Amino acid sequence: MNVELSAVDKTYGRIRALDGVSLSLTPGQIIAVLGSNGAGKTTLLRCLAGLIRPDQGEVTYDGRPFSVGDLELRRRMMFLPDFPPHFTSETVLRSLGLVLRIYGADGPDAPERIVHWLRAFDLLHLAEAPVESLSRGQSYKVALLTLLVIDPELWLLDEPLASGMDPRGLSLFKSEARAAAARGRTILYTTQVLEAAERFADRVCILHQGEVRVFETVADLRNRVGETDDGVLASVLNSLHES
Amino acid sequence: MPVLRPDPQLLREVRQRIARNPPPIALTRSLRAHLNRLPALFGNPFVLIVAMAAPPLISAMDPGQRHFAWSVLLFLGIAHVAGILNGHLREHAHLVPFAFLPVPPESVLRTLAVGAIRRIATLSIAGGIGFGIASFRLTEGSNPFLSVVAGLGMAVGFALVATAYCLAAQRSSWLTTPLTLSLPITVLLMISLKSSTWMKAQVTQLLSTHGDLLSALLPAGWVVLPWAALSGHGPWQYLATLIPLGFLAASIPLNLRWTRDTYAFREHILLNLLLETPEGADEELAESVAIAQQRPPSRGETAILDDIADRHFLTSNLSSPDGRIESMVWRWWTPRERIVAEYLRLHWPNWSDRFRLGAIVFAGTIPISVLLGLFLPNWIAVSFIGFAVGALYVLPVSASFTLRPAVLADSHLQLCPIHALPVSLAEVASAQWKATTVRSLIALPLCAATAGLAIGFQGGGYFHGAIIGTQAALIWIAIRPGVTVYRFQAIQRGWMKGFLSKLALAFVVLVLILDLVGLCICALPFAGLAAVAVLLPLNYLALRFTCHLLDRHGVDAINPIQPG
Repeated sequence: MNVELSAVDKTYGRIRALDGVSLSLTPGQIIAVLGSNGAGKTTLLRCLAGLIRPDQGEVTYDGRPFSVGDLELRRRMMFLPDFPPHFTSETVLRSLGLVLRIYGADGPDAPERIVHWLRAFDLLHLAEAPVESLSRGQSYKVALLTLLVIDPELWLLDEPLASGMDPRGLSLFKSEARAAAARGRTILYTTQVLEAAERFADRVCILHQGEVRVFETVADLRNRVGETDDGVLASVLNSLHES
Repeated sequence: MPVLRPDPQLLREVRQRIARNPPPIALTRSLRAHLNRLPALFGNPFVLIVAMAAPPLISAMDPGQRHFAWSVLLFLGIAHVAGILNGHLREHAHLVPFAFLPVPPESVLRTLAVGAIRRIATLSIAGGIGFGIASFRLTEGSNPFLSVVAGLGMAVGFALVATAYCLAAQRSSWLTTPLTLSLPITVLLMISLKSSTWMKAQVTQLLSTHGDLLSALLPAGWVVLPWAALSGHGPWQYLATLIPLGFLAASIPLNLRWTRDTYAFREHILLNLLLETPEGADEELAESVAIAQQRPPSRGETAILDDIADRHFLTSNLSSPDGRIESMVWRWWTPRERIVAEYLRLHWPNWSDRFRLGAIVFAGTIPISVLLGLFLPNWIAVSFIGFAVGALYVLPVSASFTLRPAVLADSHLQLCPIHALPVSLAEVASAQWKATTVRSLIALPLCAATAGLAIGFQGGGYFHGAIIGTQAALIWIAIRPGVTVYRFQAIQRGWMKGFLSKLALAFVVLVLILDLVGLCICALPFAGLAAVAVLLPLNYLALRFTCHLLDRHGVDAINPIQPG
């Protein structure tokens, strides 16, 4: 899915959360969105997910603007907030099943894929546990598992690396995200873990006070900044903060 | 609910923690609970209104009316005390540490019961003293010794009835909601006494003639009537109500034994702690509780894999409706609407059971209306009330598939469900409208017949009554889309800010206002039918406009908290 943001502004009261943001996201990329607290990372993701309406500018998906009633477009993307909503009174399986049916992803191969991901995330023994009884990390695994089963074209994840998942879960997420990017999916995630962003992103997008200051590959950024070792992101963010 | 047993290591740690840190939290909570109970009893707005309004009303009454009024008031008090005491046994602050300690439940019950008995005694003595003083004024001229005995007897009787009622309420869900039952009686009584002249005259006449008989139907009346007999305001035969009072007292040991044998509190406490960290509680302790909350044992990998392979988890919760109404709705829904309906509610709302209950209320309304028509022809309001109560269950007024906010766990943000997952407002409205239509059409013959008979027997005209019943059923079909839009805007904060077409938005608001008017005029025959005809297309347009506005202009589904 080709996603275009053109001069997007979003203001909350006196706070300009996004200021003239223009981005072009092509399929098959993993993009890490970085920035200090309040830089506009989550606002950007919500704009892309259609949860926020830009005050100015436009967001298009393969040339189509977002519309709440355009269910075909909405089924091609999935947004995981830092605390995903769940059907807490249901079991993991039934909660998963309902979301799959809403997305129309309950095809004949769904059971097989679900078993695969439940095993991969070590959740098979909790398949019939109430969602509300899961820990935070397990709960996020269920949400991520749902995304992997549905496999939308656009993944939007808010702080997946700080979701409470164990190292195995994080490793699995990264490997599956790379595989999905290889299949042409677009993965956009926010993070504060700079070291992970340097290694787990095709491009990085650094926001500062609502503006896009960096949108390039880590290698290009290193060349431009003149730093050859790890830590280029930290130094860029520091310089933005000091300026 | 399976019995949960905390881990022994956890128990040891908790005991050590309690030994190191005496539970100021528990003491604080206990004190706060006690302090809160008194204001809850005397600060309850309804109780205050009744207490302030009652004495001047009661003092002006004749004996029959007075006995009934005292019976109702005391019944309110007994019910309230019983409710408080039930809560005392289930929600006392000391139950928290008891949940972790290997203490037998009966020991806990005995400990709490001692406190409960003290409270009963305090409230009874206070009430008895107050009533004894009041009885001096009310029984001027009668034997003062008997008046004092009567007052003290009232205190003992109150304590006895409250205790027996509280214990019996452990076994019966109906008895745990006595306030719900006594509220409408008292409200109707007070409204009738303060309302139009003819209503007041009818009520006062009824109570003058039959007030003592009605008092005998209430447990509190078994205390009031003997007092009346001893105070010289009633025949000695009223002492016969001591017989049922004796039976009530005899039930106490039986109910005590049952309460002791079935007393359980651990699961309740642990579950409460798991769902909500108590105010000021140690977070580490709360986390330990969450860990101690053992899940029901898994059925095993093979059984789970079989279930997954059979696709049971992909079948809808709603796919096996129990009732006929639910079955009809299910058949009418498209596959997509079935999914949306499950997303909104997850389970069926027992429409058929509610319909049966409403039909019973309707069935009771008709003979009551007939009797009233024969003896009290101006009591048409009772027919309306009976019809309205039954209609609450029969018609799609409540228990609908309604939009509820989807809560993002732990984040204090909430989304309208149509934003959380790819579901459209049009789909939601369609599923809701079909369900409403089925329920309304099924209820229509019953509503028409009941309203026709009830209102007809009261002199309002059988045909007109049937028309009123018919339009009461049909109006919900007409305004359902508007209700959906209204619910959407109630969840979707700031929806008006997102729209650029003020004219279209004004139209939607106008339709919602017209819906309210339409509901009100359904009490007028034929006006309601006209309202149905006008509102049905208007509501459809309002819904289409709203969906169009959403699609074209979008809206902020999430609004973060603005800094000051």
